Amino acid sequence: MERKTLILILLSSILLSGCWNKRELNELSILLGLGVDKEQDQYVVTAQVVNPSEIASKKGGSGKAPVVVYQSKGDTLLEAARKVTTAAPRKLYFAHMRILVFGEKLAKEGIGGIVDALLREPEVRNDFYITVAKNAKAADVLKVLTPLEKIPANNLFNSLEASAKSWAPTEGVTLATLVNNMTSNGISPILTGVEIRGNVNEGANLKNIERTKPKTTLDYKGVAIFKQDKLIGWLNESESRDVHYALGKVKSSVGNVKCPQGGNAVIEVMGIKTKLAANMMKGKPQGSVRIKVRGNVGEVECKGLDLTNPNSISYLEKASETALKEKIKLTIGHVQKNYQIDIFGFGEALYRSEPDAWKKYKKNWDQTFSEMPVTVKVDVSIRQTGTISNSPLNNMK
Amino acid sequence: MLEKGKISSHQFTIMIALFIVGGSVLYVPAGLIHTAKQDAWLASILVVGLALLLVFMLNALGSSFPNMDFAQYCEKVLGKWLGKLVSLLYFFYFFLSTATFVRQFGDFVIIQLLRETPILAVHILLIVIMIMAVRYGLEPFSRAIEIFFPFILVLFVIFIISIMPMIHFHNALPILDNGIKPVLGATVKSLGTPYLQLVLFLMVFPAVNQTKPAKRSFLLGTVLGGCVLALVTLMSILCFGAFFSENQQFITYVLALNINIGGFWQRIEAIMAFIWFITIYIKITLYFYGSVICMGQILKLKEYKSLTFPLGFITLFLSLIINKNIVESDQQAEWWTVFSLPFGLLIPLLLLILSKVRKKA
Repeated sequence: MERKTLILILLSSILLSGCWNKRELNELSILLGLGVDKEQDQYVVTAQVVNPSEIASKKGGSGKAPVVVYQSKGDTLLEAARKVTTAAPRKLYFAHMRILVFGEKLAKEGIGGIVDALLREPEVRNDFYITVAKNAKAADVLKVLTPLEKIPANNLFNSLEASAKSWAPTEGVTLATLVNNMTSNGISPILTGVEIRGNVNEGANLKNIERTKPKTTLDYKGVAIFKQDKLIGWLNESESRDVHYALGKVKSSVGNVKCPQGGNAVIEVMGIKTKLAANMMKGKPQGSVRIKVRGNVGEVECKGLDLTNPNSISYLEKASETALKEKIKLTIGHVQKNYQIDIFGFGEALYRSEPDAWKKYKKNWDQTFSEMPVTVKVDVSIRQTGTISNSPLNNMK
Repeated sequence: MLEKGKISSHQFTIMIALFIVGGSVLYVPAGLIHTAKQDAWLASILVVGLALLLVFMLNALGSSFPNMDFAQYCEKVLGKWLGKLVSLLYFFYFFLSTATFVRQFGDFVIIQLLRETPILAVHILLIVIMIMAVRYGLEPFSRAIEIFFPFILVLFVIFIISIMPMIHFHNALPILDNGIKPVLGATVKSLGTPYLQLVLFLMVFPAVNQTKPAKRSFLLGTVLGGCVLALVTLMSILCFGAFFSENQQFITYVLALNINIGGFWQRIEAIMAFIWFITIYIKITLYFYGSVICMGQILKLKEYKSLTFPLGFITLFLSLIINKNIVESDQQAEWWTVFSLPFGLLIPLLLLILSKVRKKA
């Protein structure tokens, strides 16, 4: 009996083992950037795939481009993605995707269909960022070669992360967040936009990165506003920063303050805490944003500001508070008036604080939002002044 | 008694806890969240209370016949033919459950991990080790569980700690937005999977070497398993919110997929897969063990090993045809509670009452 069992097990290990799903590294095209456009009624999929021999070798490769861009058309996303194999020698592998770019035209027509395909596909993870190509095709964005980061998709990913951390006009949006905001009544999605500066054809050439100042670069610019899955407008860079302040997404940034005798001082934001809330006031919903900013004096470009005097610090605090408050208020008003869409999540805040009232406003929330009064309160506290106290400008006569 | 081996009450606790976690840890949170939205965690805590009541009842039944398994006292209490009929029903219940869980295992592996592998191959591998475990007997199997337990515990703790940074407490608000009703609905639904399945342990109960500690183990194991499920449900809500979670097939796995701490502690979803593989294997094997013993008692066999191969092969084919596709499997989870109700609650309760009445008379 024992022997029979043993034979059975041995047999099954021979018959059943093996590699049904084996996918060796040299059989995969590792996709790092995916671009989706729409042409007529067809999807155009652009895949930025690593060229392993260029990346792996330490000696700098043989002077070929570090990535290859494949493109194909299809009625559906998956069809187009599979069709890539007619040009590429290997099947696309999605698990290392870093960046997903939507063409502006596609974004205007709606991205819902693509999002489903990505959620359903088990190979696709949730750790890549999503952007919209501003005034451009996604295909062109992925063609541009970048210096420093050999792989342009990595460049896009890292630059988005770095600027979100230190300048704050951008924010890396992941698939889960996008889907959540797309389907929610109480908040609408925003995506950071990416712009091509220069000529695409020059950017696609390896010569582009041989210069100290590449002729063509990719810049993050502004934020795209979506109504459900359709792009309806753009916010510029400074408005985007205000939105991220209101959303509490700012990790670090800088802000200018006017000095009493002209000129600017710069406050370096070290961290913020935002409380975005919506409540019922006299039977009407009302929004409020309270931001606590912790900052340092980063730069003084004006004479006559005595930083040894505590009053100057409180002056700077007051001045930056008003400046920031006005800016954020203006941007919220701008969104309310011109786009009439709640990208801040006041609706969700109302749902959390007053679920009963929310039921009444749920259907027509964007309309309600656009007429809702919003109060903004900013509280800046300045801690340090850097390594010097008074500016040397003060001593120049 | 067909089972000659004895297990300790400690092993019994672990067995119950892992049995509850097995299979459910991937499926139950999404189902709960679908019904009760962001209050699902409340339901998953409430249900542990209900489950404890159930376990009290099962304990009372088990300890009134400390040396007999369920199929045996079925016959004793209900008479030979009626008793055999009820045992046969239980055999089908256990056997169908075995096949269902084998299929769940296969579905998960095919969807998430080995997409081009035939499901048959996955099932054969699982069923071979399942048959093996049952043939070795309960005693070696419980020792194996005891060995696995610390690994599972440590991995689970690592998993929970790793998903902490994703928590957003506002996802759980507002509490009780739709009233208490959906929460109670979810509680009842969750009682079916996995707690009503605990009736299976009446087949194992007499094998525990002491009856009194066994009763305590039964309760403790249920609480342990229930806590794990409640914690996982709470985490899914806090990390992703109700909206995203309810649409995921395997929300717990998705949680593990999203772990990313500092850009290097990531892509460790295998942790979750490991926990799930081990626990569902334990669950499947126990179910299979239950059905084998049940059949053995009905046929009045002297030993049960001769049944393992034929029943094992039937399981293999049953698991392939039991549901046509994943949508049917999900549907089955909906009506399984109702289906389990007579087996998990009504018949044991009836037996308990009858046996008490008979003893008095």
